[in-house]
This record gives sequence, C-alpha cells and structure tokens, in this order.
Amino acid sequence: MVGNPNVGKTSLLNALTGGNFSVGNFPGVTVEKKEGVATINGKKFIFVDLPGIYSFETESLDEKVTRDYLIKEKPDMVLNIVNALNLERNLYLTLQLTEFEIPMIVVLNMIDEAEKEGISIDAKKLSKILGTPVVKTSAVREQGIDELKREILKGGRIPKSFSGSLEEIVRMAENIAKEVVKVEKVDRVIEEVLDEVFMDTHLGIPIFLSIMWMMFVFTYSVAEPFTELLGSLFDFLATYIASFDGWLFSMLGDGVVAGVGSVLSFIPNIAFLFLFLSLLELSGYMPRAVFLVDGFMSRFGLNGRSVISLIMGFGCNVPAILATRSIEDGKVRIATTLVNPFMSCSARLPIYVLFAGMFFPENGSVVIMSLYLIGVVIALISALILRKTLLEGESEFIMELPPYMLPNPKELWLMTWVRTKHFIEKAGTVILGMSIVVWYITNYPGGSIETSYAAMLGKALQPVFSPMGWSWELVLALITGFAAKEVVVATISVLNVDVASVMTPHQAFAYMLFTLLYMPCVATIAAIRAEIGTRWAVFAVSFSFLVAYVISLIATGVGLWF
Amino acid sequence: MTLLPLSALREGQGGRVVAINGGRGCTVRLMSMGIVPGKKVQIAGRRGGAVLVSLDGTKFVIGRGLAMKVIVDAGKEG
Repeated sequence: MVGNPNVGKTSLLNALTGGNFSVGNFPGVTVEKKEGVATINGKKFIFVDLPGIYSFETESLDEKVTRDYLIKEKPDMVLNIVNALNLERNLYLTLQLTEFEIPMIVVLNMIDEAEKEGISIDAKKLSKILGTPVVKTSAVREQGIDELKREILKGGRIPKSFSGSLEEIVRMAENIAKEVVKVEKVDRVIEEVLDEVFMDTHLGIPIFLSIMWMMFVFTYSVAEPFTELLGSLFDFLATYIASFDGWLFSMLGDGVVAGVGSVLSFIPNIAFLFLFLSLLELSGYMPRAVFLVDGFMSRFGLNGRSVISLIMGFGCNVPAILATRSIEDGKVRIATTLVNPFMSCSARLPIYVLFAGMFFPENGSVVIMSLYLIGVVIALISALILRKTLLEGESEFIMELPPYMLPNPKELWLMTWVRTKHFIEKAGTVILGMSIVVWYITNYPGGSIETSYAAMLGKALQPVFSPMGWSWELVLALITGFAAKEVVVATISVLNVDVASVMTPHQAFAYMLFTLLYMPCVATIAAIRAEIGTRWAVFAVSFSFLVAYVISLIATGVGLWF
Repeated sequence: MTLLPLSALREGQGGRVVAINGGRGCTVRLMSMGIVPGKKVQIAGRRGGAVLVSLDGTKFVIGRGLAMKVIVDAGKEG
C-alpha cells in the first residue's frame, strides 16, 4: 500500500483485514511498518502499509524505505491509495509508481467526502489512461471494499509507463486531472469551523494550553488508582518472597520484584500519557499546533515542526529524538535534538510522583506541572543560545494539514500499546539488570547497607553534592539512574531509604530538578549519538550535567530563605 | 502584475505561483506537494512565523524561510 500521507491508508488496511494488523518497524530503521493479513476467497494476502510519501524525488528516509521495499521485496501488487479530494497532486506519486512495473490497483479513497464536496471522478476514464483498475472506496465507511477485494483477486495490472522529470510529471498529472475530475464548489463547513477555532489568534493558544493541561491531569490523576493498586500488589509480592530464607529469595524479593515492581507500577501513568499523545497525533490536531506555535518557537530559533518532537519528549526522549527526522532544516534539527532531554520524559514521572506525593501531598499536580514547565523553559533558552552561537541560520519547513479524524480505536490502541510495550521491555531488561546490580552492591560484602560497596560509592561521590545536602543514598540513586531514569525510584526502594526523614521539601524539589535536567539516560545518549554524532552526544551530556548542577544549587539556596 | 514572495502576502490575499526561487532540494519539496508555477494560492492565516497557505482546498503550513522563496503574482490589488 503506497500513497501520500493522510489519505486513509491505515483505515483501508483496517477495513481490508478486519482489524487483523500489527505495528512494527522496518528493519534497521525507526520508520513504522503496519502489516496485516486477510483471507479473500480462501486465498491469503499480506498487506504492508508503506510510509506516506509525496514523491520519490526528495530522498527522505520514508521515500528510501518505500523505494527499497518495492525493488527488493518485489511485492505481487501495489495498492496505490489516492485521496479523491485532491486527485491531481496525488497523481504525481501514482505516475512515478508506474516506473516500477509492478501490477497496480489505484484506490480512490475518501470518495464519499469528495462527492460531498461536489467532486466527481470518472474512474473508467482514469483506468483507461493509467492502464490499471481504479476502485472507489471510503475506508472509514467500509464502502467499495468488496469491489476492491474482487480486483485484488484478479491481481491488478502493470500500468502504462509515465516516466519523466518531476516538472513533466506535474504537467501530466494536471492534464489527467482536467480530463477525469469535475468540481462543483461546495465548502467544507466543519473543517473550516474547526480550523477557525483551533488556529484563532486569541483562542488558539489557550486551547493548546488547555489540551496540554488535560494531558497532565489525565496521566497523573486519572491513572492514580491503577498505579496505587499495582504498587501495593508488588509491595506485597516483594515482602512475601523476601520473607523466605536464603540469598536467592532476598535477591528475588528485595532486588528484582521490589526494583522492577516499583517501576512497573507506573505503567498506568505512562500508558495514559501515550494514549493521549497518540490521540493528538491521529486526530490531526498536531499540525494545527505546529502552525499555532511556529511564531513563538521561531523566537527561540526553532520552528513549528520542533514542537512535535518536543511534545513527544514528554513520553520518551528516544522516539522524540528520532522524530526530529521530520525537521528538514539541519541546524534546527540538531538544536531540537540537543534540548530534547530537558523535556521531562515519562521515566522521570515516577520520581516526581514519589517525591511530590511525599513532600507536597496537597498540591502534587502543581509541583509536577512546574517541573515540566521549568524543563520547557530551560529547553527553549538553551535552544536560543545554541541557535545564536554554534548553530546559526534561517529555517525552512512545509507540512500539509491533514483532515480531522475520529481516530480508529484499533489504531489508537496499537500505537499506545507498542509504545507502552517498549517501556515495559526496557523495565524488563535494563531495569532488571540494574535492580540486581543495585541489590548486590547494597548487600555485599558486609551484609548491611552501611558497609556495602554501594555505601562506599555513594559516600565517595557525596561531597560533590554536599552543597545541596543530599545523603549518599540519594547520590547513589542518581548514579544508577544514568542507566535509565526509572532506576532512581527502584534504587531508593531497594535501599529502603525513608526519604522523608533525610531531606526537607525544598531539598526534595532541588533533587527533582536535578533528575529532570542531569545527563540523559543511556538510551537517549545512544539516540543522540546515532542521529547527530558522537561530538554532539558528548556535548549534550556535559552541557546538561552543568545546567542541572547550577539550577539545583540555585533552588537549594533559594529554598533556604523560606 | 505584482511579484511578491509568498511570505509578504497579507491574510486573505491570493496570487498565482510564478517561480520557486531556491535550490533543487527546496524546489522539489515544494513541487511534490503541489506548489507549482501556475497554481493559485491564498494565505489562510499567518502567525508571526509560518504562513498558512490554501491551495486546491488543501492547507499547508509553510515556514517563513521557505515561503520567502515562493514568488507569486498578487495581481492588481498587491
């Protein structure tokens, strides 16, 4: 399945396979691959949804993935999904696809929307011109799917060849569209009204901020009962297992279950956050937000496109950094990548939830929101500094506004699940390993924490943080948190520290600030290195550590006045 | 005939694309999305940085830097 972005490819995949599809990645790259299976008249078909692209000319990663798939995997048939609302522009890709000489079916999707707008398309004529079957569908309403299945059984046809330069393709598409499309102008009322409201000079930004606020309430308050339930379940398990004699039970109970469990119990928070982010992406709101905030972002040397990556950073910095690939401008892209770790990822949420719940029980939401805001402010100021110094230059971008859509529940669920699963897998591997290491260094050689290796390490490094007055246990948690920020909570839990007795609320706030800002986790550093090189990765680590140290020192100092 | 960069048009003002004044990379990117000489475009909104451009019923957000490279004929009223 090949087509432009926003033509309803996923809805069509859903309609063809009856919802039997999964989401993964193409080998070696982080471009999403959706694949589904359908049985039509006893024959098994595998459908692969290739990334949405506009042409084969700009050499973007999505285009490369699509081209490689068509050449190397030699699919039996190409379903070229075309947006009937805008046939002419969609034909650029169709005409370029004819070069591959693969049997093809052209699918005129969203035909119901097109007809509502007074657009009629002569499918027979188009089929004659292109030399392939042309089928009209509305994937969302499941119209035309049976006819499409009949054509799929027939195997499609190799199209006539329309090769040429992009300029020639554009002219050919114009001529074809003139012959087969008739338009009686009718206005898109609902789209226009929604656009007017969401991108209004006065209403747009308040709406954007309310949506962001809803996201925080949703992930923190709504998920809380689930989080508490899971937390007490793991507590009970850990205590029960550790009550047996022997080092193995001690390791399993106090190390593995307590450590991994304390992180896994935050899965409801993280799943709710991903659910909300996926909803924003799939509904079509995100690009409107891009336009809305571009003026603001460009003051800090970024552009509207950076906002998607930065917002995704609230989920996890790793995919967020990979999402900077959609930023065409090299320097903006590097700046967006470097400041991304200041966007507070979901792994840091457990830390805030723990400390805010303990020290600020009355206004936990406000404290957590303020941490997120401080992260954003520091990210923007850093971006401005970078763009004024190391990364000077003007920025360029273009993006299409997709139609508003009520997201397909299946797709929404899959996206949320894939992202949450990634988090669970991390908890299952990195955090499992770290929990065992932490358990070991806290129990050996002496048998008690006070005489353990961990105590030695924490105490050795504690002087660095003595201006903030953090105990060595807290320092140790920061060190282990380098592997993954979730481990900070796991370490505190394994160490069995009564946090409330070793620090004051303002120290706790400074500590939360430090965990927000200090060096990115190993996975994020790896992503930065992969995307923009080792030198920038080293820069990111030292820069963020410096910022974290200075800011939390200031916070400690300011806190003392109260 | 009044030739202007797309970025200089007011909200609501329309024009016809005359040329794309940039390198191969940005020309191809704009053309692949249908911003081709001869097309009618209209500014549907602007907010400091990017412009919102409406073309054949589709809307695009175009960054200021790129919008400066699209030359349009704004007609008499420009």
